[in-house]
This record gives sequence, structure tokens and C-alpha cells, in this order.
Amino acid sequence: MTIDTQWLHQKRVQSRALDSKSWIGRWLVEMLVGLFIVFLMWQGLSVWLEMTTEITHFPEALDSIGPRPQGGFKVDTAQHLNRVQPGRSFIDNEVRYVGKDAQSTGPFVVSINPIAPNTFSVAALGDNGRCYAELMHTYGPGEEYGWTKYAKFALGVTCSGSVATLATVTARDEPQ
Amino acid sequence: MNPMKGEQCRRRRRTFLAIVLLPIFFAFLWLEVEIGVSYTWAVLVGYVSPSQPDVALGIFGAAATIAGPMAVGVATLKTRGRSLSVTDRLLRVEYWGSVISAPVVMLGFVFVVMASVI
Repeated sequence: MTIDTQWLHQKRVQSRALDSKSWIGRWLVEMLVGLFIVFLMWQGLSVWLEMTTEITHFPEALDSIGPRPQGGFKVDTAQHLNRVQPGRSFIDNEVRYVGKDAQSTGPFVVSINPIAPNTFSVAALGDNGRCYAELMHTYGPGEEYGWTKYAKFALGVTCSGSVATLATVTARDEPQ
Repeated sequence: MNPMKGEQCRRRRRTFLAIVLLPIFFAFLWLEVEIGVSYTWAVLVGYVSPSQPDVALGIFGAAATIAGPMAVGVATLKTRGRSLSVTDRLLRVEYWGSVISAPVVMLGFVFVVMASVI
């Protein structure tokens, strides 16, 4: 008894066609596609890792204070800054300024510390849970010169302006 | 007319097409993965606080990223059993890979242009 169905016949033709090809002919497409997919996976992983390493958690609200006011940094009180919102135009988010002993609870809650008329520090909690600080200092006859320094504190540090002093905020570059 | 000559001509044309399509296919797939991974990362990890990660968009981004490579894999497996030449199989793989990844790449470009205009 013979069973000659269409699918059986097709299967025989296909396997014969495969058998007639050389090893290279049978696996070339698979090898090329496999290599290409491995390459794509590597590229995807590289992009992901690169973006993860380059992301900055530095709260942009720390840059919102602006230059030294005419009357010195002591003019920059929490009430005044909350009313004026000096960085509103480029941060595109409202910033809440709190006193030097109050803790920052997020990237848009900035604890300010007017250390002296020419020295001012700010601290805020980054979205990675670390406390970041920025310290501005001006000098010269008309206070026209100045520098800014940065700090990224260890996890668990109380994130308030009082921890951001000349002794603790010492980095020249903005930390990530 | 010699039928062998016609067949030879068709084969040459297909080989030429496979070679021409290869860099296009390669570029589409590569761009799809680069754009897709960047987008997925942006909505899941690189969101700007106080925003939150968008899981639904993350899933969409991941699906868009793997759609092209998946199509390539499926086309490779589906053409394996058939009595096709290497050129024909490559052509089908290139075709499906490009057809699936091209809209994703275009959409990515539209997003980039829109983001830069806004």
C-alpha cells in the first residue's frame, strides 16, 4: 500500500534539495544572520550602558540661583527665592527653597545656606538618592570675580544647606 | 531565445539586488536597534524627575527594537526548509528585515525631528 500525499511529496523534495547543498550552502544564511544578530545585541547593550553611565543625577535646580545680587548673597532668602523663582525659565519646574537646616527631599527642593555676603551654598537630593551641593564664591573690588565648586555626598548624609560648607564642597567639576 | 541565458540573467539580477539591498538592510536594522534602545532607555531610566518611568512606552520601545531582528530570524527559519538558493534566502531575509525595520526607523526620525523642533 502506498500513501502518496502532497505534503509527503513536498517534504521529500525539500529535504532532497537541502541534502544536495554543501555544508556552506546549508548554513551560510544562518551564520550571517546569527553574526548580525549578535552584532545588533552588542550594539544595543553598548548604547544602554553608555547612556546609563553618562546620565547625570545632578539636580539642575542647584544652578537656579543665578549671579550674586547687588546686596550680596544674604539677600537670597528662601522666601525671596520662592517668590522670584530665578531659574524658572530654564528649569521649567517650580523649585521650593528651604532654609539651611531644612532637608531637601528631592531634586526640586533646594536647601540654601548664605554663608557670607560673598559665599553661598545650596544642596539638593538627586533622583539617585545622593545629596549634591554647589558653592559659589565671589571676590575682587566689585565682586566681579568668582568660582563655583561642587560636591556629591555619600548616601545617608543629611541633605541640607548646612552640610555644604567651604570645607566639604571642593570639587571643580559638576558631579554626575 | 536560449532559456538558460534568461535564467542566468535572472540569477545575476537577483544576486545584484541582494548585494545592493545588503547595506540598506544593515543600516535599517542597526538604526532600529540604536533608536529603539535609546528610546526605551529614555522612557524607563532617563526620565527627568519629577516624571515617572512609563512602562507602557517602555514595552512599546522594546517591541519596536526587536521587531526587525525577530523578522530576520523568522524569515531565516521559514526559508530554511524550502528549496531556495542562498541568494534567494538572503533576498527574503533582507526584504523582511527592511520592511519591518523601516517604519520603526522613520518613526524614530519623526520623534527626533519633533523633539528638536519643540
